Amino acid sequence: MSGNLLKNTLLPPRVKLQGQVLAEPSAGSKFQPRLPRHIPLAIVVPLLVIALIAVCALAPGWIAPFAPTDMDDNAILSAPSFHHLFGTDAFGRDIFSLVIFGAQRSLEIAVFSMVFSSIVGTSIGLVSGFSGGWIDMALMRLIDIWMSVPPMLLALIIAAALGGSFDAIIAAIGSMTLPPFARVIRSQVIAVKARPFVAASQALGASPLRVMLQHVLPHILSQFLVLATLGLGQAILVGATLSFIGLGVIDDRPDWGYLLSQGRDYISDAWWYATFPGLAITALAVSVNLLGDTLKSRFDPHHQKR
Amino acid sequence: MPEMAFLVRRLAGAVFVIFGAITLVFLVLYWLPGNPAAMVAGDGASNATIADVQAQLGTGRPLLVQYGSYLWSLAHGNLGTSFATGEPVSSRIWAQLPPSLELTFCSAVLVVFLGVTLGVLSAVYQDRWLDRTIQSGVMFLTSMPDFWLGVLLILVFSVKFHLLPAMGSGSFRQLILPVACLGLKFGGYLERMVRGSVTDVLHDPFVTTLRGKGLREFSILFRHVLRNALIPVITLFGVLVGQLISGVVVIETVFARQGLGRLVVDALGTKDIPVLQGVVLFASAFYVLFNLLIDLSYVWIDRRARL
Repeated sequence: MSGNLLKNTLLPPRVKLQGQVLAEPSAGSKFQPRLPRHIPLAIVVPLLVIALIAVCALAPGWIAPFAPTDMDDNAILSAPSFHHLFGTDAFGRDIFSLVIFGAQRSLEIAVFSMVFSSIVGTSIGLVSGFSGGWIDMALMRLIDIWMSVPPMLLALIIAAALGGSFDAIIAAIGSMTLPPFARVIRSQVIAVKARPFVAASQALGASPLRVMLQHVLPHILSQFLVLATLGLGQAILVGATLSFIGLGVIDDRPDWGYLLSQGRDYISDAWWYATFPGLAITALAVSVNLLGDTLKSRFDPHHQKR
Repeated sequence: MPEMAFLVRRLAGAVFVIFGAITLVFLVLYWLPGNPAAMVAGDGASNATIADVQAQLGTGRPLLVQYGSYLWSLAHGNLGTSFATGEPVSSRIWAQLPPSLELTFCSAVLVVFLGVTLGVLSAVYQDRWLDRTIQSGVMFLTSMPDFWLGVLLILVFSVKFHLLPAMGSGSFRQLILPVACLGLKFGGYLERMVRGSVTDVLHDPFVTTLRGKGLREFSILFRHVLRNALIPVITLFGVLVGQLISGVVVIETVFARQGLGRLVVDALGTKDIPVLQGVVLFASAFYVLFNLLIDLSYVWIDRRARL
C-alpha cells in the first residue's frame, strides 16, 4: 500500500526532475569543462578582427596588392579607388598595402611590450605580495615613485634615452603598463596568501618559490588574463603615440602610428592618408578592449554580483 | 591633533615621492645616448670646442657629482640653464605654461561635465538603449588614439567645413578643437568610472530604505546616491589628471600649439636635458600635489574618513 503511494506521488516528480537535469548542458560527465551554449557576439567579433589583423601581420605579402616600397609616379596622393583601395601617399605608395604591412610592426610592438611588462610586473607583484615586510615596502614605494611621473612623459623620455630602437619602444611602453600590473597582482597575492591551502603547503615543507609558482600563481591567472588583455589595448595606443611623435622604429616597414603622423602633414590635401591607419589602430584597440571587458565581467566576482 | 599629524605624514610622503621621481628621471636622462655637448657645439665643431662646451655644461663629470650639483642648485630654486638656448629653464617653463594650463583646465572641466552627466544617465538607464548607446560611444572614444581623434576633428571642422582653425594657440577659437578632443577622450574614461560607481551605490540597501520611506527618485539620486558614488570617482579622477597631462603633450603636437608639450618634444630632439628635467619635475610635482589635495578632500567630503 505504502509502496503504491510512493510510486504514485513521488515517482513522477522525480522523473520530471531527472528530465530537467538531463536538459542542462553540463549534465554529461562531471569532468567535462562547461562550454557556454553560444559564444556571445562581444567575443566573436573582436576575435575575428584580431585574427584578421594577425593574418595581415603574419603574411602581409599574401593580402597586400603592392609591396610597401612600390612607388607609382602616376598616382601621387590619389584618392581611394578600386586600384588603390585606401588611396596613395606622397610617393605614390599604396596605403592599403602600407596598412597591411604596418600591422606586423604594430602588433609586434604591442605583444612584445605586453609580454615584457606582464612578466616583470607579475614577478614584482608576486615577490612583493608574497614576502611582505621591507621588501614589499621598498618595491611598493618604488612603484609609487614610478607612477608619480605622468605616464606618457616617462615613456617619451625612456624612448628617447634608449634611442629609437625596438627595445627602446618595448621598455618605454612597459614603463607605462608595468606598475599597475605589479600593484594588482600584489593585492591578489595577498588575498590568496591568507587562504588555508597556502599554509597547508608551507606546513608540508614546500619552498617559497614552489608555493608561489604552483599554488598562488594559478589562483591569480584569471586576473592576470584580464590585466594582460586590457594592458595590450593600452600598449597598442602608446606604441602608436610614440611613433606618431617620432620616437618609433623607422625603416621600410612603418607602423600605423608613423603612417598617421605622415598623413597628418597632408591633411588638407589627402584625407585618406591619416584616416585609414587611424582606423586600423582603432579597430585593433577596440577589439582588444572589448575582449578585455568581457573577460573582466566573466572573471571579476564584483562584476558578477550585479 | 590627528588631522595635523595626518597632513604632515602625507606631505612627507609626497615630498619623498617627488624626490624619487627627480632621481629616477635624472638617471634615465643621464643614460640618454649622444653627447649633449656635441649637440650644443653644433655640426662640424672641432673636438676641442666640444671639450670646451662639455667642461662648461659639466656633462663630462661622474654621475654622483652631477647628481649632487643638480640637487644643490635645485635646493636653491635653480632649475638650471637650457642647453639649446642658454636661457634659465624656469623662464622657459613659465613662458610655455599658460597655454598648457589653459588647455588642461578647460579640458578637465569638459571631462568632468561629460563624464558625470553621461555616467549618471548610463547608470540610471542601465542596459536600456540610452546606456547601450553611451557605452558603445565611450568604447570607441577610449580605444581611439587621441591624436587620431584630433586629426579627425581637424578633417571635419577645419578642412571640410572651414569652421575652426586647425593650428596654433592664443585665441579662444583655436582652443575649441583640442579641448573637444581631450574632453571626449578622457570624458569617456570618467564616464565608465562614474557609471560603475553609481551602479554599485544604486544596489546598496540604503537606497531601498530611502525608496521605502517614499523619497522621490530625483532626490534619492542627487542627494544620496551621487554623494556616495563620487568618493571613489574622485580618487580615480586624480589618476586621470596624470593621463590628461600626458594627453596635453600629444595634443599640443597634433594642433601645433605652444606649450609644455611642444617644449618637451623640442627638448627631446636637441637632448636639452635640463629642460626635460625641469618639465618632468614640474609635471610630477603638480600631479603628486593634486593627488594629495584629493586625499585631503576626503576629510571634507566624507566625515567618516577623518583621521
